Amino acid sequence: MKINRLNTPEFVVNSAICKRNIEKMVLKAKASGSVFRPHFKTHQSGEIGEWFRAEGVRAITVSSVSMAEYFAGKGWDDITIAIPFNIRESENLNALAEKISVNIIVDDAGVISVIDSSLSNPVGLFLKIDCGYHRTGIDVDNSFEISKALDAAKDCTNLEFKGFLTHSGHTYHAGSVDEIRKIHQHVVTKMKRLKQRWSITFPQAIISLGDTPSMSVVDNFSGIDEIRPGNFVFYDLMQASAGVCKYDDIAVAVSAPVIGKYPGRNQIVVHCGGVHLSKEPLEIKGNKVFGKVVFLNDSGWEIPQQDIFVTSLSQEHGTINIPSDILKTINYGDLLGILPVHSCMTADCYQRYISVDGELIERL
Amino acid sequence: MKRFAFLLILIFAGSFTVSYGHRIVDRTVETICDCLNERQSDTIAFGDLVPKCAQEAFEIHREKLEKEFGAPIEQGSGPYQQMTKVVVNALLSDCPLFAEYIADESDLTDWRSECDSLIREGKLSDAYDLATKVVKEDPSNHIAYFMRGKIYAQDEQYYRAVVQFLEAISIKSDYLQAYTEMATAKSNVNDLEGAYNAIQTALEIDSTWADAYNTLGTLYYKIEEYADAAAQFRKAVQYDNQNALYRYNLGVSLQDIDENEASVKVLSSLLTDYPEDASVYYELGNAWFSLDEVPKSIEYYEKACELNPENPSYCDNAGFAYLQLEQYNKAIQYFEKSLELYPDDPEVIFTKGTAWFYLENYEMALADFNSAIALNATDYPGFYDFKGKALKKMERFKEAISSFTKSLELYPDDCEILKERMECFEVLLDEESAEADRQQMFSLGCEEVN
Repeated sequence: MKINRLNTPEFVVNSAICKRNIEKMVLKAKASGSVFRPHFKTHQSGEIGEWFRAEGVRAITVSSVSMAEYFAGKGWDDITIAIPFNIRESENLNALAEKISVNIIVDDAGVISVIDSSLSNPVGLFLKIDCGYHRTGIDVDNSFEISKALDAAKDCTNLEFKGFLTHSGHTYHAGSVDEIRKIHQHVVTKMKRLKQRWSITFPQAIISLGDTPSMSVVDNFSGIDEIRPGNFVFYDLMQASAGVCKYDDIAVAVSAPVIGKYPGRNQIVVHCGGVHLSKEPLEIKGNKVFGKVVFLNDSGWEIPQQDIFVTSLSQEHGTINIPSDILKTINYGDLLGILPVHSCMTADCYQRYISVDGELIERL
Repeated sequence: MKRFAFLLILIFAGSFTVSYGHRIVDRTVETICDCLNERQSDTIAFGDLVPKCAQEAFEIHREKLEKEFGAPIEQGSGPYQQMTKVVVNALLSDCPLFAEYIADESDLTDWRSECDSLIREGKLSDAYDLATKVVKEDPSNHIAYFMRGKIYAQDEQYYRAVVQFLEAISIKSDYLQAYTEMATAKSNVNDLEGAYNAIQTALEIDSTWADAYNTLGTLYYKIEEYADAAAQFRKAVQYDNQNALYRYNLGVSLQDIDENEASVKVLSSLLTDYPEDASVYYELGNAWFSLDEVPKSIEYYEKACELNPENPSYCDNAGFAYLQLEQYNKAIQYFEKSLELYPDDPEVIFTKGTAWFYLENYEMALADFNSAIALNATDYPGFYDFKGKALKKMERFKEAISSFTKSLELYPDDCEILKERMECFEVLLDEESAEADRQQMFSLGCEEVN
């Protein structure tokens, strides 16, 4: 079945673009001598995971214990769960650690001993460091708290300290590629200093960084032991509008059947609302948009020269402002494609994906 | 890769049929063979050891060898080639270690030289297929990975190149060339730290590896640390003074630290071996120009332009130098030569216009200024200044004022342009505007008003 035969909103994956994105990142990591541990929370798909494996990727990152269990079931045996560990899931973690090599992250000295005592199998431990994003993590300059956490790590029986991990989520809000580079440079400098500061006590400790904007725009990962970007596999409108990728690099679109046509106000309405795209907006030239229209074809989609955006969303409806000459060519029942604002959130709205050839792609 | 010149001649000498019977050759061969035997377990790769030992032996026996083969023996000369063939023959029969090495290398060189030729011809896909075929037949062939790296680098796919060089190094950890090539590829993706580390590793393996110093020099040059760059190029030349590229790089970098006399000396020495190399003449022209020896610089620029008229800088610079000497017709001649090939260079067109201006041919000057402005007015606001002056000379005062005004929008504090415009206003009896410019000049402290 070709995608233009779809009847309802589906999450369409262009495997050729995906594989190109993966290959690019793999090469950059290899050339820099960095371990590439991609975040799989964006796609959450065993099949897409295989595309990474084909490029030599052997270690991955996920964002929950259940996601780790899913990928362990797909043969992945070196997984970092990159969200501060939820101590209520210790039992599941312990069971997982019996089968595969698993790492967790923490950002508090007190919780380390609690987790350690709940385990009977070895688990790798990363200390989550905050280099400016201010979501989770110990502030990179807070030597006292870092020192306390490392002291606690030294006393562990089952937890083995692996290194320092950070996520520069603030790059997603940077105004320009230059600003992303500056943030990245700052984070790398801070993390390298941290590693050096503790190199005598923990000579094997590594630094692990991961955010798609930085990893995409910097030329190399020199001095970074491990990288964990995730979104780059699909990219999205947010990344393209920040200059992190090009529209051509966006590997996913949501199929959107036309259900309303309103020439009087130059609008069409598609069956593709908040439950299909997620309601995360993006501001482009002062206007909030929720997706960019592309024209689906047999080999994927074509990006129109003129920007056509989804300008408002309700649960099931998406409203698109469209130039009158293009509106004239569109009919009820036509199928458009919508490039999502934030592909991680949009992908999470679906139980499965569809390839551009109409094949099902399974996911968690 | 002049460093390998001796080795390459050894390998590619072709027919090794020259007979020998010279005692000095026997002694030279003995020295080389002893050196190879003694140092074969050093960290240095055997392929790099051969030219080293050969060079050392040559230095030890230089006087007698020169007597035997004709003094002085210079690389590439007839006596040098004759000596090389004789020594190779002797080494092949009397030095088993060398003979074994050459046999191995010969197996490699067939495909490698073909691969090199394909790269030179730009047939990168064919070259890649050839190297990949070798990798498939022998996955431990470090040279095949290295060649794939070179192919990728040539194709500006630097990440892929680095990955291939890393593969080569993982097989042969002392593969010096792979380190330096990898450093270059890394520097092309701005991984200067990685590039620096690769070179340091190479130098830890062999601190006399001239190519590493040269690569380090290019890294410093890239980040505009010219003194450090020159120091590294100097070291490269110190360890391999026959290498033309190292000497050229040294010559060029010396200009950037104002050591132009030294630059002239280094670059001039290249002309003996490379009398037809336009880039050497061009750089010599630059050095002489910096030394205020403009007529001398012209000699070299003209030669560069004659040898390679397709490089616009060579002919342009001849034009600029003639302009400096106020030989405007000659300057125009060279600018026109450059414009024949690159007719849309606004800077050259503009400069040609200035030459016409000084020749008082304002029509021609104005035509050039207009062409230059049409091509790119944003990056060169000074174009309007000269256009205004030409129009003023042609007594087209209103247009001149308009042009000066455009120039002043970008340089509002330029006394000279203000004065030019004020004079135009005066001619047009626009006293109010003239007075405004006068006041502006006064407030800026322009000399003519004070």
